[in-house]
Amino acid sequence: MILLKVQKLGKSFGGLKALQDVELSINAGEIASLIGPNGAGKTTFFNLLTGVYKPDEGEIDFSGERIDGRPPHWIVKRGLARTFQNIRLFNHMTVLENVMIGRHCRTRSELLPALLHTPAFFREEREIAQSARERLNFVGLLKYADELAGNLPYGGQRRLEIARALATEPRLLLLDEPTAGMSQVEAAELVGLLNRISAEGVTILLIEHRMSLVMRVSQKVHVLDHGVKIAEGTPSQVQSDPRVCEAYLGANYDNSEISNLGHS
Amino acid sequence: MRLPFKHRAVPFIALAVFAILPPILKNSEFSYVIRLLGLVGLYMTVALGLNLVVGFLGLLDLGFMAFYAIGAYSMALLSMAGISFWPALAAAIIIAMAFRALLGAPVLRLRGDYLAIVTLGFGEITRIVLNNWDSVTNGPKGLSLLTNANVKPVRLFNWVISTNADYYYLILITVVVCVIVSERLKNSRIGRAWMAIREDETAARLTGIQITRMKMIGFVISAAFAGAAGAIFARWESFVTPESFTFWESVMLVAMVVIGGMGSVPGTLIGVGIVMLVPEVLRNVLGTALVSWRYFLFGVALVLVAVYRPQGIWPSRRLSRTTEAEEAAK
Repeated sequence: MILLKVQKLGKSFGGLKALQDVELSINAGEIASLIGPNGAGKTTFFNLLTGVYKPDEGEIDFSGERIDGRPPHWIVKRGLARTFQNIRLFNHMTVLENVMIGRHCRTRSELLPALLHTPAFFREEREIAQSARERLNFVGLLKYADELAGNLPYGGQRRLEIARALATEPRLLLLDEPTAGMSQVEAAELVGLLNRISAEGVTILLIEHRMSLVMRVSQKVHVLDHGVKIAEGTPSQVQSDPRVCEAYLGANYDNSEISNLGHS
Repeated sequence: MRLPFKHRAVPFIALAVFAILPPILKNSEFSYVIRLLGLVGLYMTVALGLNLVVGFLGLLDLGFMAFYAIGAYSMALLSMAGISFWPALAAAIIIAMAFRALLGAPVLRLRGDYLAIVTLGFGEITRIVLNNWDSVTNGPKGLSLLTNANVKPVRLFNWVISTNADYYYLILITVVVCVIVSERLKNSRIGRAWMAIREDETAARLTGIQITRMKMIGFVISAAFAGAAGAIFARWESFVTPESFTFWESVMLVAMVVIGGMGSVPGTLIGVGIVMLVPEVLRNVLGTALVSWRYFLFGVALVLVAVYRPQGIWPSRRLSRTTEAEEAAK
């Protein structure tokens, strides 16, 4: 079953064509990766999917519904959540509260219940805290629940972003360079987390520069270069695609560099 | 960092102290203190409203006195039309919120600095309209309720509110209600959303928060506080003029919230107390020769707070913890 289907997607900033005619589909349940050199348009693609920008051309269908041009909160509610390339946490709020924010779109209490402290208000508050704790436990941060988010170590902040995104109950999780700045050990732990998220039935689309990780976890890899999609396929298909090697290494590469791609 | 039990008693002790002040000070040379503290309480009410916007939402509002003015003039005009206090109070609050909503609808989509400029403009426009709309507001001469036969006394059940001490208690109750409302909002789904917006608006939006809607809620509720305070002020003074609602007052309100500790309810109360009472104390301490220096000294004090205690005097729990962590890291 196709969960996300993107057709002829295009976006320009002034004269710069950031994305052009991008076609991509993602099956429910898979872990897919989006790779490409810096400036290829990967984050722009995420920004279009999540409603930060409106596309100039093309369509985005998410489980049978057009989501392009919709506001971000509407898209989140439909089940599409993301993390950020540069960590964006609510630093002066606690770790638990950060995840509780993820529950915002799945809960309803507004003014009167909060002011009158109705039983429904307390019930919902307990539900919010409880499910936030479950997500924290899932990513291994429960013991830091009452710390300030800004005081977590780097790898912890990355995982907290994932927990916050998971709290919105996504069907598709977009991760923008989740291992950026991580050590090898932390990155290896993240692979385990990705597999556990996937086992919960969440589809994952990953932007990642660590090729070893991409090749290990993804069932499908999509390659962007200069705003154009140049290849897609299984990790091994993409690895041996001459256009991909050219995009990464330039036209005059030799074969030893190709084998390095898989192990960098 | 949960407060130890004895600290949780502090608000109740403070409340008890303030509750017994009027009988103690009655007929003493300090009886004027009751009037002064009543005024402080009105500003606390307004500042708690502003704290929702400046402290919780992180938006700069430089024209907040406009809504105090709208509350005061609404109450004055309605009272002169013969409407009794409680319905007029409700109407004044709703009118202030309605104007706030009209202002918020276009400007809350703007980012930071523009909001400060637009609210500043709205504050001045309000004052200028009040000053010039002679047929309704009686212009700079203001509206007096004393000589108007239509004005009904302020009553709560059998309690007729007329003396300074009566208003002191009415205002004390108002402040308590506003503190409870502030704290309940802060620890709710909406309050968390406000703080998330303050921390990182983009991340909040992409985590599913409807930014403009949440800002609008905070923005409009803040005016309820200001409108209520203005309405009580109008009945207590029995007189309103545009001179009470200048840009300067709006700036002082922001200073109160910032000095006390943005986003902190006790901090806001303390900030109001300090900003209003320190010049009074200095007036008495300095004597006639130096009294004109008191705003200079006050300005120096503000700078010192900004330099040495940027998180405010009683910061919200979160901000103080970060500062501790940052200092520990040094």
